[in-house]
Amino acid sequence: MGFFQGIKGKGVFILVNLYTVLFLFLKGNVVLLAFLASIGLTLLILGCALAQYNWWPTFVIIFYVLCPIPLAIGRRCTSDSGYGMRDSSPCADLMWFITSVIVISSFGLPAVMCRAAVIHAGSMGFIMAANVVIFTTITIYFMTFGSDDSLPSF
Amino acid sequence: MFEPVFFYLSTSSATRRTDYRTMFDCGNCCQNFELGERFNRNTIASIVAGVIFAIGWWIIIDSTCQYSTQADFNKVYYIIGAVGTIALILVNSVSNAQVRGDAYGDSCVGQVGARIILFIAFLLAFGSLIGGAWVLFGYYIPYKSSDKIYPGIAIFCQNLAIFISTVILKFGRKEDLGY
Repeated sequence: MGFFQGIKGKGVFILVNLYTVLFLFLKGNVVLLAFLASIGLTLLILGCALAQYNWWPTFVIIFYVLCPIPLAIGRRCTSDSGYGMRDSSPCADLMWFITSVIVISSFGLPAVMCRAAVIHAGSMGFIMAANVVIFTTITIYFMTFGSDDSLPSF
Repeated sequence: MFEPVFFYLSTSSATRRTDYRTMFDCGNCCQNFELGERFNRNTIASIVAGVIFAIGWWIIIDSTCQYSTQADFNKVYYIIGAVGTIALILVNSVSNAQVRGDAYGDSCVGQVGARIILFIAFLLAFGSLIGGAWVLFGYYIPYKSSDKIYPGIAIFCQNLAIFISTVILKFGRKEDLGY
């Protein structure tokens, strides 16, 4: 594991260790990805379909669909930049910015709906859990399948 | 013996930051560069700035959902947030290299144009921050009862969040100088 040398800070080391372990565990594991995605969507549907809940929270699906688009564009940006090893072009930074706006929006929408008394607090809890699971799924997808080179990269 | 001091004093802060980084890399920058890129400072700064920016706008959406009448939340106060967002886009559209004057190639604004854009953008950013504070402390706190004060707090927090996001996005990212 030659690329572990020279890392600054223990926190980064632990995080990278976790990600590498996760990557090795999930290498090529499409079934687990599909399972996680179905769990997430089940939580979302539960949050809408139980008693006294209504179907307003399904609008977070918009954010699920929008979330991978900037990441895919960002990947195209950095591979076409002709700067060699530099990976942090402003285009990629903009795409990360937009992605994090979308992710926070998918958490903000149920929270705002709950505070405006459109949905119940239990429904909001289900939707937040569904968000976490589905964004984990998207992250794992991009870590294991999205890149062409052998090392995992965002 | 005094060369490092002279070097430190004579270089600009951006190159100094870059030299600090290469100093830390122990000479073999290829090996830890791939790892350093994955969690590199630019990405983290962009993510944090995006999070704070989104929180700012969702605070104002929350306040609008709860206090939707014109008397409680005058719709004209959206302008403050909109100007703050425009300022964020403008501040981050000129790079440090353009302001310093040594950008490669021929951009349509020169060094002077880049400085003017940066100046106006920071004017707008600070203006929106001051506007948000003014609305809260000049209108909502003196003239509203304590249960109707949340829209004022929301406007202030929104503009504060957008401003912090602007600053993080501008100064948290580092552009390398092609070493």
